[in-house]
Amino acid sequence: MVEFGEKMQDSEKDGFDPELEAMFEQELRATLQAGPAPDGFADRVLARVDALPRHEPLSWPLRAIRNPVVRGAIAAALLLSVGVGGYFEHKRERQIAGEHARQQVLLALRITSSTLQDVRSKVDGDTTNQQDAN
Amino acid sequence: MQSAITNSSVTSISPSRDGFRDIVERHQSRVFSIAFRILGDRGTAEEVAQDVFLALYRNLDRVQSQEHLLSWLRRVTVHRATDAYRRRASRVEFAADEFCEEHMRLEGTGSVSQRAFESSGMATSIEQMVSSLPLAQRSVLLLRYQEDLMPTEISALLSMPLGTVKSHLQRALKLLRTKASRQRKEAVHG
Repeated sequence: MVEFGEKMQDSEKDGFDPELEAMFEQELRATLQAGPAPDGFADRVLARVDALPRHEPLSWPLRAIRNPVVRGAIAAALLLSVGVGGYFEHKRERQIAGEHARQQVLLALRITSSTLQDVRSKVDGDTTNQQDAN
Repeated sequence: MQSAITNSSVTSISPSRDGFRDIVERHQSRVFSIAFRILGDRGTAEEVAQDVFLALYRNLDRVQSQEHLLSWLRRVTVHRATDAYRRRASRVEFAADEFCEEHMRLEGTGSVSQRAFESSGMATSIEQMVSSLPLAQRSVLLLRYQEDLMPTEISALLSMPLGTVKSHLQRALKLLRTKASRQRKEAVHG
């Protein structure tokens, strides 16, 4: 300390002194050592840690749903079910339309058949009358 | 005792109570000293230091190594202490840095008594001189001489350009030398 003071006095005459600079930095380093924390500091920190609100552990479905892979799988399953459902609905609609068309064709055939039957009866009736007249 | 982070290469972190106590006990003096030297007030420094460890507890799973832990503690302590210092400065409606500059200007005219310096040892004087430095210079000086970090490390830690770190260091040292010289003269001449 005394040496540092004397050196400093000399340097004031000469200007910058690297040796003095080094001594000053050394002194600074020694002085600025970390001092002790107040007594019971760690206990007070841990008491605050203990006072922190505890997070209840999540149940497994909630934990699973936070997993991105599970989320992706759920999204894929939903998309697939919507696609498959749409396909079957479309197929059912086509079946109904087909059945409707079949019924219409059958009705048309029945009408045609009935009409032909009438025509045939008429033709047969006319022929019999003609033969009777002859 | 269970160690939360056992060595520099280990990446497993145990946030157990014992492990965390171990971390606090190992680093409390460092964290408290940085906060105290920035703030100059033991009460606020303890508050800030406790907050730093609480923040560490919440982020323990992100800490990957002993080096990372050390660097995290230094950075967060400096930032939190600086914030607390600024909040306090704005509360009392004057800038502490301006106060320090004014204090130093008055010292130059001999208006401020140096009795405290004269009656105490050199170490206490240096502590007092450091506490009168402007905030940015003080933070950089602490990291350089208390934490023994190189200017490049301080630059990375504080996200501050290297040139600015060096400039703060040079200015701080120059101010301290001037003050030390003045103090010695006053001690000699009574």
